[in-house]
Amino acid sequence: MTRAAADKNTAVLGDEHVAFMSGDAISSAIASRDASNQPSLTKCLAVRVRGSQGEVEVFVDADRSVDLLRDLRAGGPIALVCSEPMSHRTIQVKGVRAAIGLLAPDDQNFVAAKVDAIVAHIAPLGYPEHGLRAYFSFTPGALTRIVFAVSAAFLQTPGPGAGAPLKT
Amino acid sequence: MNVPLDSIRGCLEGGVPSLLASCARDGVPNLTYVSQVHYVDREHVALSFQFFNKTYENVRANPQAMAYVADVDTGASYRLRLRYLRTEESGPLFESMKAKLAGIASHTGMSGVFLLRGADVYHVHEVERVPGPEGTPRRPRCNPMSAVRRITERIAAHSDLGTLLDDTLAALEDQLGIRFAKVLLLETGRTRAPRLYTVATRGYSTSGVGSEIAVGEGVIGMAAACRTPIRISHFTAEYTYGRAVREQVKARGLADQLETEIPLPGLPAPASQLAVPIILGGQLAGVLYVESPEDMRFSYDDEDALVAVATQLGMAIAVLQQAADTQNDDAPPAKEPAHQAPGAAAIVRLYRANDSVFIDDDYLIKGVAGSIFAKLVRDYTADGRTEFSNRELRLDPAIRLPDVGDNLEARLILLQRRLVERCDFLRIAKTGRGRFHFDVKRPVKLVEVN
Repeated sequence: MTRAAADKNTAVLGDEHVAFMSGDAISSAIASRDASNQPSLTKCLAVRVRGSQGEVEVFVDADRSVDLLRDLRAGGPIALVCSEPMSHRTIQVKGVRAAIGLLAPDDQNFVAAKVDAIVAHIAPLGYPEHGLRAYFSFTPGALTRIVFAVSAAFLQTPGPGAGAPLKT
Repeated sequence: MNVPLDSIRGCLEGGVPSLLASCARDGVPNLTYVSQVHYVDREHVALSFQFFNKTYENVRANPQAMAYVADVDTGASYRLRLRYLRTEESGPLFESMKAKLAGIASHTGMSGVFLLRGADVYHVHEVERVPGPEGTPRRPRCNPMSAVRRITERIAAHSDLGTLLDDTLAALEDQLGIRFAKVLLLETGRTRAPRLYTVATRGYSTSGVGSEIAVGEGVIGMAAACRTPIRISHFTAEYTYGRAVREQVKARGLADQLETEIPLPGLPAPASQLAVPIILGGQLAGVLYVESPEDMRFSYDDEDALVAVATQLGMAIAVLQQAADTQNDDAPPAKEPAHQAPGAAAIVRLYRANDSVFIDDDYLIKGVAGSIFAKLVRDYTADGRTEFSNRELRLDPAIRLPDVGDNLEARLILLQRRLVERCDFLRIAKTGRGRFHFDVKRPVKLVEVN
């Protein structure tokens, strides 16, 4: 990615949105599509925004995301939704193309900490913790990192304003 | 379909927010949370369409979609490969989802934001279990199939309508643990719009027998109007009867200013509500309604169980009604010599505008049951008659029974119960199938007001 592209991407999101997506209480999911425009999707375990580089990193369990990873490897575009369950505040970001990246040494710990945080956030809403643990479960050996540059971002908090481009 | 859709209905209760991925014709995917994925049948679901958004555009241009749902107890997740078929903007499915959405909106602080514009119906091509561990499922309260069997056995054992109604509600508590319940039957009178009147209740401090709901009003009225079960899993003021009844009273005219409203028995703030229509011969006969102070108390399984019970109950009501109508082919009841009960005469006023009846200024009943009561008093004061038959009531033009299919036996039970609650000197007692005795312990005088 060029420096200009990185700057542009950072502008699409804005500091406030980067902070939101990087928060501990964020539940997220990612989608793509195949050549026939059949969508694929999976729940994400964690999201990290590298603001200075304009990149979004998304962590998923490969065994639970077979179709999505197939579509991304084939060059399918990306839709990522990040939501704070307590407030319903939600944003959706899009990307044109993703790379399936190698895990960095500390990624597994980062993901485990994010999962702990979201479970702790949601459990008080009345969900059984063992169910939440299963919902956000992953096998360390199957942990996979998806990286993409944000090309567009939209407000998606429920309401008539949903779908509007984010203001930076 | 690898996983039968009806085996994962627990995922469609809204416990875990569901996701929907769609794709524009130009290939850009879109992902959104969905308030409601509603089980329609083994091959279809309906999603709530609330806003004119990207999903709305996408599925109309490219009907392929993918939903992600999960069970709140076990965390087990599933992907549903879907194809958009159509949008329903009215009718049973729409009203059922609209009511459920009102509960979800209230529960999530989204009242006034979540409004159903349509029910988007999708064909489910495949259900895929997302690999992964599964938490321990909550032990079910009971086996619903076994419970339905026991309840229907009890329904089949009754030969009297009054005990049938009461014992059906008792059986709901014994077998399904449902403590608050009521049965309402349809009145299609000639002088008033179709209404549902309460004929039996269980669990409330007052019976509320005789209270009424307009068809189309609230959970019960909408279940009747659309002839579909309506189930709400969280408290919502929008579907609470206190307000509806107040507005209804305000909107009415002079006749109803005479305090002819019997308060509808009900929990002040029910968290869960389920109203199931009683259908007979393709026609609406009434509604079986249950409620609970507990969130998400009634599941799809409970809904199925209640529909089965309501169907059995409807058939039993019809059989007992028919028996009451045909069991008196012998000579008409003998007229008895007039004898006046001792004491000062009570004034019974009949307001013919809506057949409402007052005994010494205390409201008793209105509608068909009111005109039946007026006939009993009229015949008693004129001839001293105390023995009556269902058949003669049915043939009496002054009673204005809507049609032969009308449930006269249920009106008599309603009247009988209201007299027990509101008057200590008049009683109706059954003397056999299709016959009853009008017991008068104080003189009465009928005043008819046009």
